[in-house]
Amino acid sequence: MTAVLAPPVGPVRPEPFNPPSLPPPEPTSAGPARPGWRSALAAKWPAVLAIVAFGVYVAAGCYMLYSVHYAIGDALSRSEDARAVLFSRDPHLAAWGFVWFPGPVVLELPFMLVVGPLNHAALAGPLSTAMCGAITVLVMVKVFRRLGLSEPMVAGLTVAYCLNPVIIFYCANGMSEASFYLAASVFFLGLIRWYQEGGPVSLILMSLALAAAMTIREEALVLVPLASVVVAFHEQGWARRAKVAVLVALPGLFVFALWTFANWIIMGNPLFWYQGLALESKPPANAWWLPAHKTLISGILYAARYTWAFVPALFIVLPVLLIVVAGRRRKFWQLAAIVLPAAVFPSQVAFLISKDSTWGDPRYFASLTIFSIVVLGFAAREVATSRRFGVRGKRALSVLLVCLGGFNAVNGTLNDINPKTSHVESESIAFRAALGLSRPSNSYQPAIVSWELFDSYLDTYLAKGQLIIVDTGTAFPGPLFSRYPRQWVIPSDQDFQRVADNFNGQAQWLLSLPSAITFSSTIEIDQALASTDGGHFEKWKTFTVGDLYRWVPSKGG
Amino acid sequence: MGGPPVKTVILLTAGVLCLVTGFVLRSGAQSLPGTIRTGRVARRWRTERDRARFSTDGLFVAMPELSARNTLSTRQRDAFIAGGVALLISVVIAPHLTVVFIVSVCTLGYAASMVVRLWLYVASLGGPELVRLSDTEARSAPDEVLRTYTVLVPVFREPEVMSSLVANLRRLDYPADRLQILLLVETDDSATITSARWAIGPANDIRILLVPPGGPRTKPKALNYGLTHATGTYITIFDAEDRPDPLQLRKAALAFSTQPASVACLQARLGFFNGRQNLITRWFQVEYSMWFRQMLPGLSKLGAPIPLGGTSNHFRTDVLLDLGAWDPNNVTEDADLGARLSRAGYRSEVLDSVTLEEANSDFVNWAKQRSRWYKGYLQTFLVHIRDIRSTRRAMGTRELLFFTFLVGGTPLMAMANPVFWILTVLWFSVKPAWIMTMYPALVYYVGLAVWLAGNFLFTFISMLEAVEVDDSLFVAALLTPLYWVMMSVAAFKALIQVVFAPTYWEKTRHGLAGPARVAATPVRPAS
Repeated sequence: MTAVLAPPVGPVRPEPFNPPSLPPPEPTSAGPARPGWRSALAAKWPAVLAIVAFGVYVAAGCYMLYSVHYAIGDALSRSEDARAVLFSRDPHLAAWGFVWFPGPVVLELPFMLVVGPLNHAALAGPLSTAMCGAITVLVMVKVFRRLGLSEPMVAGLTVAYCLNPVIIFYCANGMSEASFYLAASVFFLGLIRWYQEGGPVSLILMSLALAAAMTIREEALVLVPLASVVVAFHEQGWARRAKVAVLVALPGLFVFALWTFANWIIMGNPLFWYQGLALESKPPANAWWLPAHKTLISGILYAARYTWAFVPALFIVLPVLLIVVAGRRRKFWQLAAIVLPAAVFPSQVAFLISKDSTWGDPRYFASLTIFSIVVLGFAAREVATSRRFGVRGKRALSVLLVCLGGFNAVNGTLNDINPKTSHVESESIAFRAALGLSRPSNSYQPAIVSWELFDSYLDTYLAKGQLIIVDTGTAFPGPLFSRYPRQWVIPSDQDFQRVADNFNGQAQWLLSLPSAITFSSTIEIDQALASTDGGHFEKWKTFTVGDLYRWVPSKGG
Repeated sequence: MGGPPVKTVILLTAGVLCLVTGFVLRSGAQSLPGTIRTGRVARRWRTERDRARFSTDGLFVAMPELSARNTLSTRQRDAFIAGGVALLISVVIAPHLTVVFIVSVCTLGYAASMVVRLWLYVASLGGPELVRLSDTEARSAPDEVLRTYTVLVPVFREPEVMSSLVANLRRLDYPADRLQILLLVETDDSATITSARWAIGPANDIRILLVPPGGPRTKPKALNYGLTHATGTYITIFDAEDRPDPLQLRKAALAFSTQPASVACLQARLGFFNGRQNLITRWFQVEYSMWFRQMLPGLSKLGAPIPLGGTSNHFRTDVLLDLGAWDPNNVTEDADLGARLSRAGYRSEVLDSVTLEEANSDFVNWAKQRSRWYKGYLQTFLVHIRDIRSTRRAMGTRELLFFTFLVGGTPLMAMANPVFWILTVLWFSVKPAWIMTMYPALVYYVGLAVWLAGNFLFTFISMLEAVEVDDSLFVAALLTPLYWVMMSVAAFKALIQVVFAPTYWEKTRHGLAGPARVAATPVRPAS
């Protein structure tokens, strides 16, 4: 029985993909023949695939934003944070906000530098996620090559991953999943290198990837220690295991300590980010998609249902792999290092459902796609190195494994087409539009068209140098579609509170949005509305997005 | 501050002081020729006086512009004075801007240094460029490649280590008829002479050479004197406490025969036989391990000048003479020689053979050694930037960059660190507003990134090294920032000494490891 991760027989890097039907070029009398385009493509196909993937992701992002007018609120919020860092009235790094972990916002900054001045700030998110998706393609090729798979298998599994419509969606929408997939893929690369040859490069890859994950998602708080412990079990002796675990976890823990410290220094509360999430995480009273009786069992069943919806291949392949490798304890730990971190996402959702403190986002299970494709890679390696199957049998099983990757894609797409199973983020709007299906009627996502209309109306006044004060806790899409973003007074501005406390006409406009959540900055908006210092705010016009108030000076003031 | 008349008086006074000081100092300063010329050092020493003169004046006669006899050249001295006056004037006229300027320069320096060191580290990860020869190859090397070899061993006031030193030298596996071992002892060091004679006994395999008095009493001076008696095609240096790999000479000779002629020096890897003795030796072990397993191979891979270690450097003797041998006025003659090798177009490679040394286990002893190293680095840096354009042409721009940040930057950063540490502590404790004004936005963000990422990454890299080399070093690696505090103490001592006693050689005491603590730290091969 072969080792799961031992170096494959023969060179780690297989021969370059060279179709047998293509004979070597005949030398000409003029000198050595130039390599044909097929040979060049064979050598450089990963880069070509990455570029194609990038193009697909960007095109999908533009399609969703400009044609379907769909964007997830959290993505727009991050883009607004990035815009505030660079182009607000008070540009500074801390304007990235302390609700989300800062990684995705930081990744958007270089793109915001370009698209912000071009008045397409909302595109910075899709561009950054497209870049992450493209780089993930290259990393996944390295991962599969390290597993010793043939080039056709490497290509097949990589394509099954990167052109999975669910992956396209998340690499095009500006959310945090795409950057997490990149961090996870780098972690896998480091993990496989570590088991094959050890060395500092492997440790660096794993630890920095986990640190990157910590800047992206709060689930990394559980992921980082768990992954470190499971990696360390590869070592001999408890002292050595402890040291390796500390080493692998340290960058991630350092990042978290910094983040907490920054929250404390700037917001006065080291857990400000957690409290912001706590405000958001309470599901609405009519969250019909969650189990009626929210217990741990119902949470687990809910998680299992959505795990099946996105990665059915995991259920099919994983039990077989576990039977194959469980016989040898060391190899079991190696497989566990891949699978156990994947359990973090559904476990967390199951637990939070039992506490009635999550919206139960199905999209959390989409993250299992990357774990699933690596498990398929492991299974492909077992097939390739098995002595039980002949050439035809191996080929058939390999095709089956790639098809299972496709099955993941189909199942995930079916889930996201259905409005009933994709209610929280309304992914069905984008998926149905792409497939020419009717648009679902209900969506809580910010109506981009409404914001665009509002901004174009307000811009005529902002062009004259007038200011508007908003609470971007709720009105975050506002500045994104305005041609005069510096005319928006937002909570991260140094003088936001002063403007809100003492008007006297400092800001001529105010936008108030109804919200079930009260942010700290909402209080300033309420104070501003109640202010009578030198004048008062009078309701000017009601828009779909909220009520627009205009400052009316006092007579004689 | 008074109005314009007061400022004018201050400026005029400062200007007059500058002129007077310049004239006074200039009259004692050494005038140097405007252009650098390479010289061939005389190789025939007919009398002891010739040998003694060579040992103290060899480099200065051949290439005075590259000698540290005067720490500063005339031009450098003038530049320092002018710079000091300009700083004084700007502090008077625009104190805030001056401070911002200084902070900005320091921040950019830190950032560049971090980038350079990470660059080196990443370059070394791709597979260190080591000259590797197996023990079997070394043992079976044909006689024709085993050219004559001279081993120089300078010792000073070390009678207690003579027995072990002689034993270690006799373990060297090399044909006796082609090996010359010279023990270089100061004439007035009677205790060491007596102990050496007793340890060597009647055999004539090791010769005691008495270094004549005169000139700076330094190790390079003794080495130069030994060089005048050297007969080997190749030459190397070992220190009194060294335990070289017995096959090292064979490996070096074989490597020289297969490497191109441009490879004039092979630096063996150094390790410690008492690396686990206490926290200081563990820190030292981590530092050495990183230096010889990562940094030096990284430099070698990038073709940059290698600041050689003080021992176990193997040279082609004729090249050594061409370059003017060692600078007796430079207390890190090894680093200086590495720079001169690079200027002359030669390369130094790292030989995969280990010499075990004794790590300093005592803070005072450690500080003496480290301050000498920093002083020597400052000397080397000041010598080689006398004519920076010439150095850049000779070394190359990238190589000069590495040289600047590794040789000059190391002691300078160690000196700057405490200032910024104090500012950081002040900021977080008291939050004085004037600190905020020192950091414009761009400088602030760069500084913040360097402070957070740089400190963490280098501690992390130390821990990585510990896991690779020896698990027992892990906790010490985690506490590396405390080691940096020690380095800063040594750096300030070096600064004082480079001004007031540039050629003073602070002797490192050996034999502190003790027999009970001598358990060789395993030195794993470079990955």
